[in-house]
Amino acid sequence: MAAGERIFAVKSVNALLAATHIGLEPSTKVVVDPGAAGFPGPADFVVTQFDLAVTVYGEDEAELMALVAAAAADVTVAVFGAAGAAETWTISDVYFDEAPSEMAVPAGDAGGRVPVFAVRGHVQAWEAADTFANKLSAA
Amino acid sequence: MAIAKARYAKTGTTAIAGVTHAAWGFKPTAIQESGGAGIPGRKASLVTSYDLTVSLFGEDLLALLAQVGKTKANITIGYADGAGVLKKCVLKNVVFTDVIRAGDIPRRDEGGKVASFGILGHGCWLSTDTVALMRVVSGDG
Repeated sequence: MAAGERIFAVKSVNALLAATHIGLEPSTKVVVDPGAAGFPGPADFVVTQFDLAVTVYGEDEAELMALVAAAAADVTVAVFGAAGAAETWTISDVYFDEAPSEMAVPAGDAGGRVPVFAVRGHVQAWEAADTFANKLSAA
Repeated sequence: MAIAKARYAKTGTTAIAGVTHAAWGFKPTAIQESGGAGIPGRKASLVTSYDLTVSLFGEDLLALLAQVGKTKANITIGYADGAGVLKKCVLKNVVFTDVIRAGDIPRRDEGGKVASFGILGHGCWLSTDTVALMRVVSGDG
């Protein structure tokens, strides 16, 4: 079974001790050629921009905030792949520039799971011929 | 005959790994003529354009993302109909442009079903194309 197929869960993110999981938000910008008068449908679609946002969730606010504004670097995510096999995902050239959540400190009688904190970044350093396939890989 | 379940998806003759299911549709654009003053209802409507949309869903995010932005290609979706007869549908000149479901890679204590990721594409039309030419269903022996 190919790497990247059937992701069951995150095992680790970089060398962070308290990261729990990640989110991926790929998006695109598309230019549409509607075709000349009389065309039955659009003549062409061209993807002109790619963006890949990465959110890292974890229990240690300080550990995650240390990623924000650090030099762009690859994010390495170990996952449980097919049949529990260990796989490694690499997301290239991620610069973290957002901290979308606050670190919640619950009341003693609140119960529930330990709260997680998140930081969010984007893949950068796109070259002219790059697509998602050049910025996200699995092994 | 109704469509029962997906079997595979291919770009050209190459299978796309991990595809679990798919969808296609033609969205017509129509222009309505309301008629002159005093006309009590719509006078006429004319379909002037179609958008062929193709969605692929699967467990292999990398395989799906690799399709986004590629050169247009025919997409073949294999399925079994409600009577178990194997069919295939060829959708012409599709460019995948959008990611409609990527989402979270889950925590290890979350449980549940493996995520299906999704991408969306559109068919590119020639002036001579028709709906029937853009979507050809046949047997899949």
